[in-house]
Amino acid sequence: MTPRLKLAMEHDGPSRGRYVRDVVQQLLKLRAVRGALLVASDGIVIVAEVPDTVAVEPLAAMAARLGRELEASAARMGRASFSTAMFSAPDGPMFLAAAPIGYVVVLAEPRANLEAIRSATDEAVGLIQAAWAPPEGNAG
Amino acid sequence: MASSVTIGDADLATIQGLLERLMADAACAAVLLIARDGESLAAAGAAPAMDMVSVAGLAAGGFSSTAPLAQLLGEREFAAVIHEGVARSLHVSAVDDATILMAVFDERTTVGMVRAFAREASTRLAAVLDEARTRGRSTGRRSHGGGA
Repeated sequence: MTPRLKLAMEHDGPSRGRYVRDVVQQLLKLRAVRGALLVASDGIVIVAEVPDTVAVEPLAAMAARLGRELEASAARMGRASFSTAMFSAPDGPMFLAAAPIGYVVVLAEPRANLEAIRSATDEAVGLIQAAWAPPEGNAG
Repeated sequence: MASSVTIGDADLATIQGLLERLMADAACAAVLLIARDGESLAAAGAAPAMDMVSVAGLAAGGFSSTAPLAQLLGEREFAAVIHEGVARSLHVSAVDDATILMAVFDERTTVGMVRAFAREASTRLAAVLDEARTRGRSTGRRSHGGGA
């Protein structure tokens, strides 16, 4: 377990939503990352940190559609569901990772270090997963 | 069907904690637990310049009015209804057969964020209310109006 993941599991701050937003914003600090999103499995945007030039809602809808299709295809083949997928494009790759509440999407530039982004995306999924479980002992 | 319930002080404190948690997690302006008849049972936060009593009543009426439409689609009712405004929006969702949860939010958050945390809060609220009903039945307490 990485130190950051451990920290997330101990997280009991005032706003899990803000924490999840921070996790997505951290992805933007990676070199050659253009934007990052967290979208629900039906394509509704939960967090979006992308440039104004990116149409957020169509991107979120497409990412969710791709994610669902990958999961359904894996199930049809009797394989475990995907964790991270990468789609190449002339303006740079898009990473798609399955998260507990949907998908993490990372847009990168063509010169990006693919392994560094894949690893950071996986870590972001872990942090979101840890944050999403409500703190023990809370009301309810 | 979930019956109306008398909410004791301890349960009300738990409910209040859940509403405040939802408000903080999803960055909502206000969160209300509302009986299906429009009575506000508990609230967290305050949206300035809003008549929350009227909002609660109208939200409950609006939510109920979508049930026939849902039934035309083969659903018993919609799990959630979103009213999207320019500056402020409402997310109204079912908690159980007697109560709904309403979140008022603005540009500080997203509908996806509100929906995700409202689902979690609804599950917990339903459990608290169910326990309160069970306790009420076992102690012979009379219920009234679904409210606090």
